[in-house]
Amino acid sequence: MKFYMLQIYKIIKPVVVCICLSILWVKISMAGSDYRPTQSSYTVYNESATSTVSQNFLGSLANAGIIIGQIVIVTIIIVIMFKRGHIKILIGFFMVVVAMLLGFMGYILLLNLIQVLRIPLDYITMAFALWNFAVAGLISVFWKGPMWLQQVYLTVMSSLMAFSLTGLAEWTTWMLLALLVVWDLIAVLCPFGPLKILVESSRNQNQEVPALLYTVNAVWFMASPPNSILEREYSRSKEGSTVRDSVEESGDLRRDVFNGGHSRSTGREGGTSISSSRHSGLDTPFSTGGRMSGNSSTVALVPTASNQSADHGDIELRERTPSSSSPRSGGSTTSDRDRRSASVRRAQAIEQGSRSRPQDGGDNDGDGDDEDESGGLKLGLGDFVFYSVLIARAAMFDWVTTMCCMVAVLTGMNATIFLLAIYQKALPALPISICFGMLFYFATRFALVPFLAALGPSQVFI
Amino acid sequence: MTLLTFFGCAFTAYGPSLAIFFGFIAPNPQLVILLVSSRAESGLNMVAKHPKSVYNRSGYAFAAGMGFGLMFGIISYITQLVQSTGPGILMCISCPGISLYFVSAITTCILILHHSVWMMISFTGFTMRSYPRILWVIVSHYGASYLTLLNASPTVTLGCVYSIMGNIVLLLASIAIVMVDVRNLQQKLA
Repeated sequence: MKFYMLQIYKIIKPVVVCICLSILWVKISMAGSDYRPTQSSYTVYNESATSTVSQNFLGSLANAGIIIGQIVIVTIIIVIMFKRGHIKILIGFFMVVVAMLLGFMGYILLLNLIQVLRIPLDYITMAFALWNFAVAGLISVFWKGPMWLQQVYLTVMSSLMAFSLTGLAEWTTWMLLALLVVWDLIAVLCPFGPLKILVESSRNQNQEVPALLYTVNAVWFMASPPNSILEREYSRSKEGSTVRDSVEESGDLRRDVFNGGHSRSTGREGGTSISSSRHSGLDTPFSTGGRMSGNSSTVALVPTASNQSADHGDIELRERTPSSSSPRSGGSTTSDRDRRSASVRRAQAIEQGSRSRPQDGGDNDGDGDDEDESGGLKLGLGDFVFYSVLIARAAMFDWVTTMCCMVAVLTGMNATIFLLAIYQKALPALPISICFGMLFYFATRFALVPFLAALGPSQVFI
Repeated sequence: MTLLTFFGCAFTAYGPSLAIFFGFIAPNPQLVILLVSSRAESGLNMVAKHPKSVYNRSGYAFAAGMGFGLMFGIISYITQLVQSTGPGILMCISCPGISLYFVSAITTCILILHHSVWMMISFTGFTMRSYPRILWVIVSHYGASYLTLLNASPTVTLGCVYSIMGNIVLLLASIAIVMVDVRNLQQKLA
């Protein structure tokens, strides 16, 4: 239990940061900018104020269905490629997509900022800065970089993706979120759900082919606070002679496995749609037996077999990014579609033996807390994105709804993690949070906001 | 001036509770989780740093109450807070010399603290089956809310002063009850 508490705590922080960034982008871009994300080109139906409810409903269902269809297809493609071992292709795609995301969405966001804040800036400077921003992100995410930089980039990327999705019309957004919940449940919980297969195959493959891991993985430590890293390094140095392969050593320790992927699919209407999915996982390098599996959009916790004392091994946060459609003001639309897949693994299946346990600070104070959980939590980047999308959509309405949805999403996430502690298997992270979020959004919007509007000016506090 | 109003009101309303949050709650993961989603209190006892400590319950109660209070404070005040950056200003009806935003900020601040201590009192009340405590929570909650009606009263001059002073008195009384409870715990321990 204690382990979960710490995990939750560590995961809450990046999620909150990501959500706050998304709110900030939305609020800034709503302050009268010309460069808001627009509807992407593959939506077939455009909502208008005059259309009836049933028109809106069916149209948005069609839009969301198209997007979900793309997500499903890309997920399956990624799973197949992963199973066949074409990891390098996946990585290549993912790199392209991350670069596109950072570059284009960064560009749009920057235009927003410049316009709203009235910053004078010439194109050359901006291009130079953007180029550096994107390339630095690419390097730090896929290769190596300071831990905090990777965290920052992954968080920023999630929020950018969410920002790009705010271009969808309102009904479409809600429909998309609802369908995603369903898809998430299917993909993770069904016996043949693609994400489940992905998780399992990544686990198997890793153990078999450790060498692949290094190439695939990047490292990301979002989940662990600096001091725990220090501790790990310490324990690791202590343990010095582990089997830990040269592979991991060459990287910093902190790195773990990350696997990011993007896939691009050809666009259907007028343009290419790019699907990207990335994940990154992070494990502490040390975990000896621990293996994690992530599922996209899920928080997965996998208990490692045979660990004795040390249970809490790794923390992994894996992120998956889901689709974003990026609207381009210029007219060329690239939509990123995301797909998630991720896998994380750690190479050393082998060394169960070295048992040095890295524990994060809190863990050590020896509570003999049962449950040998030696897994880590992974939260897909896609979950980050869709949480942020929901809240960004709420932010476009009112502050009160924003705050309510934020609390609802965090509560849902906590509930998911508690369920994880009970069931000990990969669970989809979206359903509870998104359902809570939507419930709170509509309840707040139609009940609480008018009520507060009456109370506020008369200064009555209940 | 508007931006100054905004920051002044924001820190007046949320400053004390944020200080408590960062000083007391943030270093402790359980409390943060409790604050965000208050449930599973009994399970938390197992994972506390000092599982046997009698103060656990008080700490949890405080964190849960703080979470509730912050939520309340944010929801009921954030709209006005955002408006305070706007081009105009609203004056408090009962005290025309002060802006409505500032009076609301002070009230919000007091009420957030109120919620924290109410939660502590009602935790004790429900576990010990002490009906006077529960009754006090309910009555003082009503009292605090009704007092805020004075803010907008057109007939009572300086209504906002009475409202704020009354709330502070209620808060002090609640804090006194909490202190007594904690002291009782201490004596039981000794």
